[in-house]
Amino acid sequence: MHFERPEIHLAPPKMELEPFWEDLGVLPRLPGRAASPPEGLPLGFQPAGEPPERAHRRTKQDLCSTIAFAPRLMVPYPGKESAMTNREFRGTMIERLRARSEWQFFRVLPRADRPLAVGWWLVLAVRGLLPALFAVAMGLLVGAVQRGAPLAGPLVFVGTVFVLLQVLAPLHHALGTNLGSRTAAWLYDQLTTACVRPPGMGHLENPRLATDLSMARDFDLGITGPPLSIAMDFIAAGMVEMVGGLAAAALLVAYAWWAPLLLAGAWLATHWLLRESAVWFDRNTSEVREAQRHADYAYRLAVDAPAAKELRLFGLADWVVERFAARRRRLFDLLWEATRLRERPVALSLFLVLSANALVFWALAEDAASGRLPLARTVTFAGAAIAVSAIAFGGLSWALDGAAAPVGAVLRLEEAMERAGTLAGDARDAGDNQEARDVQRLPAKEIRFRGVRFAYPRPDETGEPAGAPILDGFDLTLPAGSSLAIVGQNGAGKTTLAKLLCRLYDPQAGTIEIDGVDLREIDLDAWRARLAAVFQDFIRFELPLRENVDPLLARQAGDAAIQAALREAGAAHLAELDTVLARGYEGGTELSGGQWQRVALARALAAVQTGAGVVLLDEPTAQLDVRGEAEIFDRILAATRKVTTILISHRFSTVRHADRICVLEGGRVVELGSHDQLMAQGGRYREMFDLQASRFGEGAEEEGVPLDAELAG
Amino acid sequence: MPSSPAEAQRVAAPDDVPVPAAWPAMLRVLKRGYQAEPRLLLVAFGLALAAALPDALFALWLKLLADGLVTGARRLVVGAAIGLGASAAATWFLRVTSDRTQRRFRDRLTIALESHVARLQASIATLAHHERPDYLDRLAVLRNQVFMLDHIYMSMFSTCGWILRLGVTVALLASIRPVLALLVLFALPTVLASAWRPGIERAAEQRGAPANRLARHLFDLATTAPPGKEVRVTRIGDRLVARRRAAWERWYGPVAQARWGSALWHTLAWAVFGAAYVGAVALVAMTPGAGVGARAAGNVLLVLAAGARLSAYIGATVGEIGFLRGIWLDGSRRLAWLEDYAASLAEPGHAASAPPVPERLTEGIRFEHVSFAYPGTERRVLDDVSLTLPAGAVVAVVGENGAGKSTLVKLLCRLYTPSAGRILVDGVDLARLPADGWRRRLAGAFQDFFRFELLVRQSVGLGDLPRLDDEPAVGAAVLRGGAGDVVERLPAGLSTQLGAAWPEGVELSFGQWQKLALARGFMREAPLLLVLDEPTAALDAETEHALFERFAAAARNGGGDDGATKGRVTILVSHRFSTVRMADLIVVLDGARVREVGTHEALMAAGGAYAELYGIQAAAYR
Repeated sequence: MHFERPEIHLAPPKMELEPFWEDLGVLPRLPGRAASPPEGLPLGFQPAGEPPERAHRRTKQDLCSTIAFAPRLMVPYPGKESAMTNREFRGTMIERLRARSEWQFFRVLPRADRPLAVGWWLVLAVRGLLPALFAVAMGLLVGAVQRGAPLAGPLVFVGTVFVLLQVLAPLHHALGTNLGSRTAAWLYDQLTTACVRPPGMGHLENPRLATDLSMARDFDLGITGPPLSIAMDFIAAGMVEMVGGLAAAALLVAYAWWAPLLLAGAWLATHWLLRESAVWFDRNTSEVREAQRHADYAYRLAVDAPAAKELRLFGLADWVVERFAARRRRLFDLLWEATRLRERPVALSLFLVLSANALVFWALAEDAASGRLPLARTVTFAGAAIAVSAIAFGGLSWALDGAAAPVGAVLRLEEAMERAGTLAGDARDAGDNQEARDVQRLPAKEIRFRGVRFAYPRPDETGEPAGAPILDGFDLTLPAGSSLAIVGQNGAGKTTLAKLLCRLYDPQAGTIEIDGVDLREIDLDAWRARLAAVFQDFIRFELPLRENVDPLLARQAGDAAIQAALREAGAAHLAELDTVLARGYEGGTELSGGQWQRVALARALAAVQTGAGVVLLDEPTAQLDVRGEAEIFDRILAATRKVTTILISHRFSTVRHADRICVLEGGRVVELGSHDQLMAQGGRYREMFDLQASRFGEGAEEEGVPLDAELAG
Repeated sequence: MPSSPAEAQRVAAPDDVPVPAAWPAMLRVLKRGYQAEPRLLLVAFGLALAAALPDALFALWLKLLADGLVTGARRLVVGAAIGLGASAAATWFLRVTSDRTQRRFRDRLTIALESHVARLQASIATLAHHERPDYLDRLAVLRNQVFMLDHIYMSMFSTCGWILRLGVTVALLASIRPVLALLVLFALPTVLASAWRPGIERAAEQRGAPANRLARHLFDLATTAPPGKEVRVTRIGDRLVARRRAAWERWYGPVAQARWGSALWHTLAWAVFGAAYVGAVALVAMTPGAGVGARAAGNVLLVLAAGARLSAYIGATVGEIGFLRGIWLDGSRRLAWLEDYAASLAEPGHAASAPPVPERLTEGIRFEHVSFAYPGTERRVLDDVSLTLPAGAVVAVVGENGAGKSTLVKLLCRLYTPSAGRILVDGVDLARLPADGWRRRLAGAFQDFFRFELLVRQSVGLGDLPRLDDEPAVGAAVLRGGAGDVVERLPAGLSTQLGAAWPEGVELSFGQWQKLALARGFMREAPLLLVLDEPTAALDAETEHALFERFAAAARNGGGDDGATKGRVTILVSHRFSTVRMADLIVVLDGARVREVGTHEALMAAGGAYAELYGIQAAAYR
C-alpha cells in the first residue's frame, strides 16, 4: 500500500468550493445546440421541438375521431410532423424519401410474411372487383326475369358474387390483422438488432435520432395510432373502396367513353377540392404546438400521480383545471379555424358531383327509354354508376400515414444507428484491431489512463465533441488486483470514467492502456468479457432470478455457482432461482430497491467467478439502508479481493475501505492515495470527509459516548 | 379509545363504491354532453339522421327505373334516373357536412368532459386512486383517453343512422312481400359472430399478455440508452433479440389461431345470410303471377339492391353497437364510477358540524393507536402508533426502508385517513376537520416533489396560490428555500420558463429543482405543520450540509416569538442521522411500530435501536 502521486499534478488542488451547478449547468435548449451533460445524458434529454410523448397524445385523439366511422378529417401523423420539424436539417432528400414511405411500407409487408402479404393483396383485388361484377350480375338476372329466360345461371352468378362480397371481408380482416402483427414484429426485430449491434452508445443517446427512435419504438403500442394489426383493416378498406369505384368506372366504358371520365373525374375532384379542410396543414405552427402542449401539460398535472401530493397540499385543483380548459379551448379554436369547411369548395364540389351524376343518369335514362339500351344493360350501368361514388370515400387511408411513418423511421434508423454507434477509435483506424490478442488474463499489470480527454459527442451525425470536456488531461494508473475508489462532486466525471473503461466511448485524446496495449486495439468482445459492472441504473430483468444473476446462462456449473454469488451478495433465500423477478408473470415477485441492488451485485460477483478481472461499482449501495450498506460492503470487498475493483461512491464511509482513493475535480485527478494518506495530506478529501463526519463527531464527544463501544454493543 | 366501528366503516366506504351499471352510466354521460352543448348536439344528431335517407332510397329508385322501363313510362324512367344521381350526390354531401358538425360538437364536448374528469381526479381528497393498482387500472382510460367518451355520441348518432337505414330497407322489402322482412333473421348469425369475435380474440391476447409484456421489456432493454451500457458490457445483445422474438411468438401463436378461427365462423355466418339472400331473390323472381314480367323485374331489382344494402347496414349496426358496448360504454362506466367515488369522499358539506381548523397549535398533534393499511391491501404499514408531537417542536422521523415514515406524513397531510385509531389536532379529530381547510395550513416538500414546468415565479408561487404572482413573497420564499443562487443564474430570473420542452425553457439539475421545491414548500408563511419528507436525499455532502443549516434555522423561526408562527410543528423525515440529531424529538419507526421516542441525547443514552444505527453511520467516520 504505497502512496503514489498522480503522474501529472500541474494544477494545485483547488481549495475553494465550486458550486456544483457550474458543472451541471443550466441548459438552455436551442435547436441544433444541445448543452453538454456532465455524466451521461440527463434523463430528460430530448430533441429540440416537441417531446414525442406529447406528440403522441395529440394524435391519439385524432385516431379515435377516425375510428368512430368518420375517417374524413385526416391529420398528419407524428412521423410526418417530426419530419417537418426537422426539415431544416434534413433538406429535400428526406422529402423525396418521405414521398416514398407508403411504397416502403408495402415493400416491407412481403418481407415480414410473404404468404400472408400475397393473400392480402389477392383478396384486396378481388374485393375491389366484386361491386362491378355484382352490377353485371344484377343486370343479367333482371334481364333474364324480364325475358322469362331460365334463372338458374344468373341466380348462381348473383349468389356467388354476393356471398364472396360478404365472406371475403372477415377473411381479409384475419389476413390483415395477422399480417399487421407479423409486420410489427419484423420491424421490432430490425430495430432491436439495429440497437444492440453497434459497439458504442452514440446511436441510443443522439437526440437527432431520438425522434425517429421514439416513434419507431412505440408505433405498435396503439399510442400514436392504431397498432398495425388494426391499421391494416383501415388501409384495406380505403383501397377496396377506391379499387371498387375505379373498377365500376371501367365497366361504364362499355356504355360510353365519356361517362366514366365524367363521373370518376367529379368524385376524384372532391378529394382535391376539400383537401384543405381534410388535413390541418398548418397545424405545425408554433402557435398550435404551444396551445397543444400547454393543454396537455395542464391535463397531466391534474390527473397524473407525480403531482398529486403537492396538488392536494397546496390546493391547486381548480387552478390547474381552469388552466387546462382555457388552453384546450384555444387549441380547438385554432383547429376549427384552419380546417373549417369553406363554403366555396364545398359548393363547387356539390355542383360538380350533382351535374356529373345528373348528366350520366339522364343520358342513361334517355337511352333506356328510347329503347337503345336494353333493361339488363341499363341496370348494370346504373349500378356501376352508383358504385363509382365509392371513389369519394376511398383512397389511401389516414391509417397508412401512421403505419408508413414508423417503417420509414426503422429503415432510416438501421443505417443511421450503425453510423452513430460506431466507436471513434474503430472509425479512425478501422482494420487495425483484428489482431486478436490474448485478453484472457488482462490486466496482469495495470490499467493506465494517459492524458485522456473526453467530452460527450455532440448530438449530430458528425460525432464531434460538444462543450467543455468532462475529462481533460486525465492521468491515472490502477495496479491490477487493487481497489480504487473515486470520489468527486456531481458531474465530476466519475461515471464517465467507468464508461470509458467499458469502451462504450473512445476518448478524443490520450489513451487507455491495458498492460501497455491501447484499449482500442484489444478485441472489444473479449475485453468486455473481462468486465463486470454494476451501474447506478443497473438492469432489472423481468426474468427468473437465475438469469438475473447470469444473463448469458454461461455458467456450466449452473445453479450452485449462482447460489454462491447470491450468498456473497447477501441475497441468499431471496427467491427461488426460477422465480420471475417482476409482478405480472406467473409466480412472479417484486423486489425492493435494496434487494435488487443485492441481485445486481450478485450478477457482478458471478461474473468474477467466471473470469471477469475488472469490477466496476457505481454507487453500489445507494439504495441500501444504513445497516445493509455496512454489511454488504465488507462482503463485496472480500469477494473482489483478487480482481481490479473500481468503486464510485458519494459515501465516504464506504470509500475509505478501498486500497486507494482518487479525488476527481475539473476533469483530472487532484488527489490520490489511501484514506490515511489523504487524511494526513489535509486536502480536498479531508475537507469533504470532515464535513460528513463533523455532524457525527461533535455530539458524540460532548456526550462522551465512545462510538466504538456503541458499535461493539 | 381504539377505533370505533363507525369510524372503521367510514374509512372502508370507498372500497364499496360499486362500478355503476352500463346503461345508467351512459345516460349520465349523455346528459352531461347535452348540458354542455345542447344546440350542437341537436344539429349533429339531425344531420346524422338526414344522411341516412338518400342512401337507403337507392333500391327504390332502381325499382322505379325498371318499372318505368318495363311499362314504357318515360317520365318515370327519367325521374328515377335523376333520383339515383341526386341520391349519390346527397349521400356524399350530407356525410361530409354531418362529419364536420360532429367534429365540432366533439371538440367542444372534449373540453367539457376533460375538464370534468380532470377536476374530479384533482380534487378527490385522498391519494388512493393514484396508488391502488385496481383503481389505477380503472382510471387509466380516463386518465389518458377521455376523448373516448365523446365518441359515445358519435356512436349513438351512427347507430341511429344505421337503424334508420335498416328500417327503410326492411320496409321496402316488406312492401313487395311481407315475408321478405324475415331476411333480417338470417342476419342473426353474423350479428352473433361479430359480437363474439372480438371477445375471443381479446381473450387470446389476454392469455398471452405475460409473454407480450416480456417481449416489450426485452425490447425496452435493447433499445434504450440507460440499460445499453450493461447490455454491451454483458454482451447479451444478440440474446435479447432472439429472446424477444421468441417471447413474441409465444404470444402470437395462440392469438393468430384465435383470429383464424373466429374469422372462419364469421365467414360461415355470412354464408348463411348469402344463401338466404339468394333464396329471397329466387323467391321473388320465380313467383308466377304478380303481373308476370312487368312488375317482376322491378321487384327482383329491389330485392337485389335492398338485400345487398341490408347486409351492409346490419354489419354496420352490429359493428357500431359492438363499439358502443366495448369501448364507449366501458368508458362511461368508469366516469360514472369516478363521479360516485369522488362524491363518496366529498366533505359532507362544510356544515356547522365540522370544527374549524385552529388558528395556531397550542397542545400539538397526537396519534392515538393509529393503524393504517393501504386500501385494498392487508399489510399494516402503521400498527398501533401512539405519539405526541408537541406544539413548536421539530420532530425527526427515522427508520429503515419501509418502516412507514412516508405513510405517517401522508396521514398527517390527510392524504389518507387512518384505518383505525385517530389523529388529534389540539384535541380535535383530524378526520373531522375539513381537508382543504387543514391543508391550507400545511407547508412542505417531499422527496418525490413535482417539477412544475411553469415560470419560476409560478412554480414557487404555487405553494400559496393566492400569492401566485406576488414577486416579493416569492422572492422571500426562494431565499428561505435556499434557492436564491438558482434563480440568480437563470436568464430571466423569476420570469424564466422552466423545462427544456418549452420555448425559451431552461432545464435545471435535480438539485436545483429540489431547491425550488423547497422554496415552494416555504411559500406559506404561517403553516401549522411543516413537512419535510427527505427533501435533500439526492444531494451531495456539501450541498446537503448547507441546506440543513438553513432548514434548522427556518424550523426554529417557526417556534420563535412571532405570534403567527408560534406552535408550528415541523416533521423531518431522513435517513441521515447527522441531520436527525438536530431535532427536538426523534421518533424511531421499526416494522410499522414506534420503537423509540426521545431526544438525541436520551436515545443515545438508552442505547437502543437509534443508538445502534447512529453508531453504524458514525463509526464509518471515526
